[in-house]
Amino acid sequence: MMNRALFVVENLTKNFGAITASNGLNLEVVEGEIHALIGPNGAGKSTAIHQLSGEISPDSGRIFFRGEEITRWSADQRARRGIARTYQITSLFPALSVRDNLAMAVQSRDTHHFRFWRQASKDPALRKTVDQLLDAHELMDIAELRVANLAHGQQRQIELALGLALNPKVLLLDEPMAGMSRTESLEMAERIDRLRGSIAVVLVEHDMDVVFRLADRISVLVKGEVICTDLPEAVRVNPIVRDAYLGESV
Amino acid sequence: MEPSLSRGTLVRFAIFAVLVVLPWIAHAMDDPFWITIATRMLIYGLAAMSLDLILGYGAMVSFGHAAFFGLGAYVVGVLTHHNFYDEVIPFLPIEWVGSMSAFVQWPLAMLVSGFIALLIGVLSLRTQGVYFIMITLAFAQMLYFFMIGLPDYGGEDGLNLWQRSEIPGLDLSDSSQFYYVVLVLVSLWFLLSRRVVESRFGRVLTGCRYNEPRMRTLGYPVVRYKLLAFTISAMGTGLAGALMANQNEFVSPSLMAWSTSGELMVMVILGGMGTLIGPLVGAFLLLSFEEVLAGLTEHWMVILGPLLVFSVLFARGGLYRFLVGQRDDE
Repeated sequence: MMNRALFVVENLTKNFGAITASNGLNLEVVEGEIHALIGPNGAGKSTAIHQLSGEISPDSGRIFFRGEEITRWSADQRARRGIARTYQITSLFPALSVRDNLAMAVQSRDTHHFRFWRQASKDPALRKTVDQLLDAHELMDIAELRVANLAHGQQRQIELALGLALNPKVLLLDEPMAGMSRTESLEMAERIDRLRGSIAVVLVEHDMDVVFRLADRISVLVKGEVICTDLPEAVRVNPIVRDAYLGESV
Repeated sequence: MEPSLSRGTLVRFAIFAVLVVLPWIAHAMDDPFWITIATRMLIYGLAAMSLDLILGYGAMVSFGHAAFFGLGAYVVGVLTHHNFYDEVIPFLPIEWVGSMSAFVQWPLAMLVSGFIALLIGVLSLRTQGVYFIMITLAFAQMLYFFMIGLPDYGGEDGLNLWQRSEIPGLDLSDSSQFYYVVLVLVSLWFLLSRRVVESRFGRVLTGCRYNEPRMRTLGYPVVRYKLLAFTISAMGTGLAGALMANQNEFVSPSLMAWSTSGELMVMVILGGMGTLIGPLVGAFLLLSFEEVLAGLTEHWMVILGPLLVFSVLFARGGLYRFLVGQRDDE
């Protein structure tokens, strides 16, 4: 397993004033796995995701991606190298159509030499790729609607589609089921399940049923530190984890 | 959106048609001064349209665009001055006495404005919101006081040009001919800008306006895109400045004053941000207001102020969107 490592995180530390969000965090994500991050509120799960995506830079520690150190890389650089993410609070382009939202991501896959002349809406290559994505995510029916006018569940679905539209090597999912109904959650879980093996997924999620069903491995964060990384069955019965986090609820 | 598209085309065509026949009407009414006023409006419109590229499409509120307006004007001023007195321009590595040709002066005005914008942009675009407004204003004020401190070029009093730029076969000192040259340039700049905002590059700008952090995690080197937009915008404003120098046959630091930056912003907002043609309409509107009200009373600002407040409150998308029947988030 060691040689297929995608992300290696070493001793990551991040303080916000007096609050320690990451406290010597170590993590390893391998290719193709669904790796869940769980932990009580304030354990530093979102901060960890932000540091993987490059939106927050750590105070100390190192991050490697496919063997290359990326600790000081900017967020856009990481995205171009195959690290995509979604947000807990939906982050789309509300005034634009579903199609234009996806086109924004697809366009980014091409090299960033600036194109001033050709009309983007009539670009056949762009249109074709977006059509395929709309099909794959079952969004064709609502393709021309403005994202702002869609239901929350649909917006969450587009949030996922936007991340996947980048053709990433790893997708960081920050609470993808946030605010969803039971049926919508199940659908989302199915979509994430289908990603297994093709790309790596780092999943932060509060719904423990979902986490234990989807995850290949689980890392438990407590106070900015990973106290254990293991298979779901092992995490479930780990006494330290039960003590620190799960309590009697599992 | 489809039905208003044809209405938009219609409105644009009507505006263009009026602009084309305007000199004839002015001559027919025996009031050729109208041509001079309209030329001024077109030139301000060009600057406002350029500002709209970053204000309306990229949400970069530059409060220092007068700097590029003034720079463009001073390029023409300096070249003309040295050419007229047959003096070598002092701060260049080569011996050059300037030129009167519009084909040298105007592109150079754009290049100088663009180059300075690149420098200002690299520093200002690290900031956002209010800080961006303040830092662009600060740079513009710096250039303003720099020009005031240059006695060789008239300092605060400005510089008389004695003659306009030269285009073979044309006489730019003829107000109608100059008007049409300006109209052609404004039309070309409009067509060019429209291509830019509809291109992939323009889409990225729009994306940044709606959700810049997301654009970053989608892999866009956001600052580079914005810097380029800022530079293009400054080049258009520089061209407007070059034309203004010709129109007035005079350049002075007041072109660079912060109030000019403010006027350009008012034109964009009044006419409609993110429409390109709107700011041109806004320029005509604001300058007409000034013209008419200044004729009524010397305290015309007291009337103009509330008018602006009302128009912003009740025609929020700007006059152009009102004309074509478009909502302001489209």
